[in-house]
Amino acid sequence: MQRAWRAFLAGILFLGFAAAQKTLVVAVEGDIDTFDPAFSVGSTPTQTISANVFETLIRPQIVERTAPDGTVYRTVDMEQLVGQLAESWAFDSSDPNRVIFRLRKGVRYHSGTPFNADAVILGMRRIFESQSITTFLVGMGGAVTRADQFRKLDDYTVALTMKQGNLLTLKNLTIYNSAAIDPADLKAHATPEDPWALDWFKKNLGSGTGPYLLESYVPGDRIVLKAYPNYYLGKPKIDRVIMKIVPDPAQRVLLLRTGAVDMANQVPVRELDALKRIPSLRVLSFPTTTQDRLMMNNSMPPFDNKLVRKAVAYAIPYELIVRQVYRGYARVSVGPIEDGMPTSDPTAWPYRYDPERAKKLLAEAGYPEGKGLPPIKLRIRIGKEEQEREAVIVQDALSKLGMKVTIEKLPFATFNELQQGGKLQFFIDDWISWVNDPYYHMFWNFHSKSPTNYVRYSNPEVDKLIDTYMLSRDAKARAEASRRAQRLISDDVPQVYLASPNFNVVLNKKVTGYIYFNDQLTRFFYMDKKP
Amino acid sequence: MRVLRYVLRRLALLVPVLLGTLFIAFFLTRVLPGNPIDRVAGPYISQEKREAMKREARLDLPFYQQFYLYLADLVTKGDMGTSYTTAQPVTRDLLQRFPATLELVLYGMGLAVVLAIPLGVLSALHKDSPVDHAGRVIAVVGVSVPVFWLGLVLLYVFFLKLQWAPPPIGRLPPTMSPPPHVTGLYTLDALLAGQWDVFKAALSALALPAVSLAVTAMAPLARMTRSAMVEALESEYVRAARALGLPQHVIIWDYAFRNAVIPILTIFAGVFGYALGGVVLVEFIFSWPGLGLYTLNAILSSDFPAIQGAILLVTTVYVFIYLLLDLAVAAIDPRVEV
Repeated sequence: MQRAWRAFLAGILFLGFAAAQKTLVVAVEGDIDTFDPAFSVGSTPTQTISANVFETLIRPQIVERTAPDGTVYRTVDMEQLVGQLAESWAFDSSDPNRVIFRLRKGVRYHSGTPFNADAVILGMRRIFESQSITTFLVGMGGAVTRADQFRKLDDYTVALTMKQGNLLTLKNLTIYNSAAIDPADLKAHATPEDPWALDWFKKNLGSGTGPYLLESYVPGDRIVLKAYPNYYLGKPKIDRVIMKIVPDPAQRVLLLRTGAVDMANQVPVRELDALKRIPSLRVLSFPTTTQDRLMMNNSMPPFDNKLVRKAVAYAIPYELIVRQVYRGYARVSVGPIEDGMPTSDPTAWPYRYDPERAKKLLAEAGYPEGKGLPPIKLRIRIGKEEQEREAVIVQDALSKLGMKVTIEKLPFATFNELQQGGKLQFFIDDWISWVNDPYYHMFWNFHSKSPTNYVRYSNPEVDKLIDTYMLSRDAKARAEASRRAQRLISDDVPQVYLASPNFNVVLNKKVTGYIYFNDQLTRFFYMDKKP
Repeated sequence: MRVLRYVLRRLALLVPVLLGTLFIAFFLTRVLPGNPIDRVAGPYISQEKREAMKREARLDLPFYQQFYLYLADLVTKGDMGTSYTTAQPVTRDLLQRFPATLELVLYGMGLAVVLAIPLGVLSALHKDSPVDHAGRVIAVVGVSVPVFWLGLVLLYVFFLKLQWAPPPIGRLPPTMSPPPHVTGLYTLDALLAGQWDVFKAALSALALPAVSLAVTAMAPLARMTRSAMVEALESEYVRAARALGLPQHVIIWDYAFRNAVIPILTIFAGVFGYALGGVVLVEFIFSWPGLGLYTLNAILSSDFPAIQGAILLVTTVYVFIYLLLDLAVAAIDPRVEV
């Protein structure tokens, strides 16, 4: 009798424990490719880990927005930067080029190391001396090029002196690549040949200040995060996050449907309507500034001819792409600067579906009904289902003008190398500017000196507008110059925007609190799961 | 003693075979466009930094120099380089992934043998009867059904509709930790650790992917068993055995099957090797963290060290399988000398 009671009590205790432990299972599409926040660019799971384990000094404010269908959702506003590891920040009243960060007190890394100004300075030295991604982001316009532009004023105050006081640099500092790593990790693993412990940080997840830390990692299989109990904003509501690698999108859908996982993104758009009908699931679809782009190399025939580019821009059935490829989970693009990014000007972009006009323009360009055109190859990456379908629509639309296009699918390493080298003539890719700022967007895409100007677009006037106003704090002049640049770019049509797809997340209805960040990475801290 | 010398000679042959395959792998990865740096470097960095990263990875060197340096590291340090897609040493990655694939292939092949051999023997014994026709239909279906389609159908029926099988979420449910590592084969490790729940979970996770593999592998095995058995059963020595009035089971198994087993083994080795390479689709569907998926990702990302490592490993396994096959044939057939 007594034994039965004991078993019963143990059972109750166990159930209580199980209820208290909230576990979130997320289906992710790929594995970790590095653990170093300063160098992670490729895999979304890697970036997600960086965004939950490490933290930056400042972050964009969380705000509520209303979607076109009337639902209210939470997202971030990059125009309002607030403190994260810094309690507050402000431009120095005596020096407009200097920003003062007042650091949060009492913050400790997962390892117990206290966070302070020395940790910030050391982290910045590592970033600059190892030339990590951040160097190129905060280096935009030459605003910050050396680590010693960050100065420790006292244990909890850091000053940053920029070439020119501006907001873009600060927006760039919200990207997780500049996250504060633990000085203790650095000291323990630095070697004479590798003073910034690049090798160790690549292979191991260091200790951070963020709400989660690594519990276990089975390569190729799963990454398990657990809550950091001493997090300064309080213990996260979800105790464990299991990121389970499920490479096949169809299986991610199946696992969601059957409740084997609580959450997944990168779900094929064609499945979303069916998933919406399942009572246990919630489909969140956020309008974004992402662009699917039809890229025409401005330095290769026939696309070195502006009239050909214009003909293409008038030949694409944009509404059809939104309807058929994205089933409504996308918007028709409004131009080089997407709706949702400050200073976006839809009136600058005149291109609508108008095949007659496209034919006329092609004839004007010297290729009546496509006669005399060189061979055109439309390249796309393997495995991007939506872009494959866009390619077919583009091929069909252009064939009506007499442009013969062959589609070629490339593995992404091959595609990347050719794209990076400016060797692709005609291709489809997608782009989202993580920093929601028009000059960030224009610099990387339209400045002749940008490494990501994959179509080799060059307009000295556009370059000059970007150079002059990128770091300006005169909001009005900056907006005006942006609108002027949008008109110039629209007239040159270096790229054509096929659609602006939504970002879709599918969640179990028990899971609440999802916030859409511009970088499209999930922050588990804000989320909860009902029993 | 002679056997030992034979084994050593065969193993020595491994060296030129591996060198040859490695050379081809090296050549093809370097000749085709695509390099691993663009992925790890990301789009934002300057051209100078990108070039510096290529130099650091020795990718700027001529192909033969890269080949030589790789071999030197491999031979002197056992170092296969670091993968660009996982940031881990390739040796560690392979040791992690290979057991997952091996376990799947072993169960799949085991199942294939258990199903195919009785089926083949039955078909041969009842040649041109309904049993034989049924066997033929099964074999044709097994050969013609693509393995990924079969996997999806099995999932639909046994997971989604009947709910007998676990979800296609890898080797264990996400909330269950792997057993302590001994061999890397989860079912075996779980048994060694006495973790019955883990054993059961690992076994049920194996069920559908192993059946998918088995069905496609059993077709050639069953057909070969049938034809070899038919030939053996029609031979003079079987007739002689029958005339001597030996019991049926002795005739079938000790006389006919023993003679038929050599072509069956040969086919089996081929099928086994093919399964090792062809398991990638099954791994993709069942989220199986194995060698196939690893290699696929490596190829798509031009992850040179990972591709080379995987090719080395699979080649070695292949050579070993054929070595074992030859030894087995020698043991079975007294006419074959090693």
